[in-house]
Amino acid sequence: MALAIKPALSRVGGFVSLVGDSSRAMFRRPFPLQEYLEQTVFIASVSILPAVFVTIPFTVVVQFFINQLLQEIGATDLAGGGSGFVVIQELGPFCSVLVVAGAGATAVCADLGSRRIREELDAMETLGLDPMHRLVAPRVLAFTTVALGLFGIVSVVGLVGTYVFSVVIGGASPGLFVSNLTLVTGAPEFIMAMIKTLLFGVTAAWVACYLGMNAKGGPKGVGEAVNQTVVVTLMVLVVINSAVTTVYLQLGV
Amino acid sequence: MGVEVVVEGLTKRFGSQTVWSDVSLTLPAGEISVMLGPSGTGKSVFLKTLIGLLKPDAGHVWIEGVDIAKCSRQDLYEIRKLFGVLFQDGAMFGSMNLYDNVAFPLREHTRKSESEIRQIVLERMELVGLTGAENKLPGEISGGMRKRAGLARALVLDPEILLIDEPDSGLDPVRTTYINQLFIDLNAQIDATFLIVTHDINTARTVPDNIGLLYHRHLAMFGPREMLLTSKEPVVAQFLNAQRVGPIGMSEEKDADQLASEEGIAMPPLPPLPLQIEPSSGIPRRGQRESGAWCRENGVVPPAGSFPERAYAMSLH
Amino acid sequence: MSTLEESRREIVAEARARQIAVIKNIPHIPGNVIYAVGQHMNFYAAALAGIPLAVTRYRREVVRLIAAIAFGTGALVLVGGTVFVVAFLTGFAGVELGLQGYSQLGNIGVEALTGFISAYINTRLAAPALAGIALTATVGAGFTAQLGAMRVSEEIDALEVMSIHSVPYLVSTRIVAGLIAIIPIYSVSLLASYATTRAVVTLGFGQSSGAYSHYFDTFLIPSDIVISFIKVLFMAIVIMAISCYYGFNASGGPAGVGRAVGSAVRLSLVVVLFTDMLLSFALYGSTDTLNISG
Repeated sequence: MALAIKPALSRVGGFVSLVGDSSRAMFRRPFPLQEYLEQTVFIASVSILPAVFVTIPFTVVVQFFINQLLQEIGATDLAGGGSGFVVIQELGPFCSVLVVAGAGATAVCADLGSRRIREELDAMETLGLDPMHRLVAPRVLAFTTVALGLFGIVSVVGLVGTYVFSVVIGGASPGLFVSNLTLVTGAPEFIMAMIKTLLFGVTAAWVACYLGMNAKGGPKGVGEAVNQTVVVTLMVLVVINSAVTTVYLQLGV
Repeated sequence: MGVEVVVEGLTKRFGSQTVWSDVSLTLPAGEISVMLGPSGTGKSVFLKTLIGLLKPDAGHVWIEGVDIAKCSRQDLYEIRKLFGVLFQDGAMFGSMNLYDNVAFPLREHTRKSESEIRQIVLERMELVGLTGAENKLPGEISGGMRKRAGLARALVLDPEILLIDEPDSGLDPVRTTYINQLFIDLNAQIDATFLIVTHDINTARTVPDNIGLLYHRHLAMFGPREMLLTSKEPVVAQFLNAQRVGPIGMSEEKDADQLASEEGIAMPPLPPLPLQIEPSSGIPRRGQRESGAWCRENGVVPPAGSFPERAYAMSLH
Repeated sequence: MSTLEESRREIVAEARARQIAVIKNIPHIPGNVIYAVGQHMNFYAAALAGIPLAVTRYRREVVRLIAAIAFGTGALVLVGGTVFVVAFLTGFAGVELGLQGYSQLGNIGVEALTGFISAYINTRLAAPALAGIALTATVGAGFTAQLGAMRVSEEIDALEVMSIHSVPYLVSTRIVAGLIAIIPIYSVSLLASYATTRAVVTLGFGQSSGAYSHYFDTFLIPSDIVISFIKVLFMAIVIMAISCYYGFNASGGPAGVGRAVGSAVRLSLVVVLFTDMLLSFALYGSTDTLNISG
């Protein structure tokens, strides 16, 4: 165990220095705009379809149980309130980041990992190009952009999905569903959800870049780095999720 | 005691692209053959087709009356037990140490007791010079050791046919010489039919009894070592002597302009033929022929200075 | 390396050639989809058909894999193994449920019912869904990485030439071992979700643990727990089959293995959540097991 602590600490140190270096590199000129745009399109292209198809079953199954609960206490018409709450506050950020972690981060980690193995990163440095500036900074921003965009998509898909499920299939009143949407979910909740999404996106990007750039040992190494990326981003995700919720509840809105 | 492999009209395509077509040759039982070719000519594909990992589009591979190209999956698994294959990087299972890797085929395919297995495994590991490394994991050892471990595993079921994919890739010249000597000694000991796929001409010039050359989607030539080494056929002469002049260019074939510009340049004279490596025990292999025998029988005069040791020995008389 | 790359590319090209032959007469895109679905189905059928061989001939491998799955190998050991990761994720789902459940129920003045929410939502929804996601990330991605690395370093070819049936030996054994290992993993995870919700509500919000336990115990229904396990086992089969497919068919060197892990995770997440939804409809469709008002 004692042996395992030292490498773990040096990993944490490496991660922190990557976070610092890439944050500073974000403001260095010229900003690698093309890399940023390419990465945004790339991450979006691997994330949008999974986002839609993850959101539909996830929101519907949650709504299914919430409706059952509401039925038990005789308040089916509160389905709209439940939906707004579930989709915007919990599942919106969660699904968008789940996909950013599962689709975007894996793709970015695999890409950087194979560049490391092919010694492309070494080649960049010998050419005097800083990978933090050229590769990591634009990816972090691209992740943030895509995560926010996905949050929008996921929210719309989720609300439509739960509406169809509760009103069209479940027989709740359409007017009440819509008017209750904002019952427990208003602007502060929406902002909290945006903050969650932003934090998730940035962290997922850093984790993916760190693990990808430090991959070693051939095919097995890259595979394991990608595996670790999903696991670590998911773990960080749930921690941030609960931390933000706690802060929000403490604020006592 | 070695099995003959007969290849008839073998053709392999990937989509519309032909890798090679109409390859026919016979790997003589118990002899060592080398398959040569420029990069990307499908040498490894040929090896994988012989063992049924890839299905050819046409043709047959006959081994003991079974056609590997057409037989059922069950027959294929049965006939594969005659084979040992050494993959490029050894293909050792990363989750097992070297001992378990080498013991693996015995545990899966025989009913031997653990103590019998132990005896065989240690014997094979000694043969390839890996005594003492039994408990190492494949990830912890060098590429050369992984290759030798792969060889020990390929030998453990006493194969009749041994297929070897690029034994020299990633090895330095000294290690290559050692592993080539090992192949000769092994052949002397187990009499299996060997096929080595490589693009190392030094291996091709000194190890085999027979050489084949794949080039431009067909088998350019296959025959005894001395026949190819003395051949004036441009592709064969160019490749076996690593010349720039000849039909092979940087990207497989030269274009017409390049060939035209070489019109007047004569092929350089053939270098002297080296001796074939002999078993270190000094006892000749079953398939071995005296150096120079083929040339004498076929009335071919080898280039001056060929077979240096023999020439030296003769000058003493 | 070059020949390895070569032969992988050749195998891909070969698959493509067959694909072209199959779909010559159908318009291209649906044809590709049909072809891909066919490839997946063939693989899954072979993997399931190999299970008897896996439990008889390759039992040693199954036993080795059970331990490897529960504790994780290589990458996962650093973060505490599969058990820890899955329990960590379901545990935090429990935390979130405690936080949001207590405050939302507080809005309508019935925060006393949070214990009931834990017994109901954790068992039926939160723990299985998070476990499915966590298993995709741990066991699933791990399988893809392992098999993908074996494929590109020719270890699967080596098995084949040693006359070992590679699908039963590598894939069916993993599915069997996974199903066995999931039971303790999920037991710990479900308990973790209960424990964290309870901790948040009783320690964090200061509800009396007696009141919490009363509603929790009353509404913790054994059949719900059994169904929860059934859901997770189904999800596990789906995850393992998809992950093994992508690993087994990886190509293109280290980059290819990385891409395979990404593809496997994407498809698994989608299919797992659909599986969860459909099983929930089927298994929890009737609500008469619960009767809160009476």
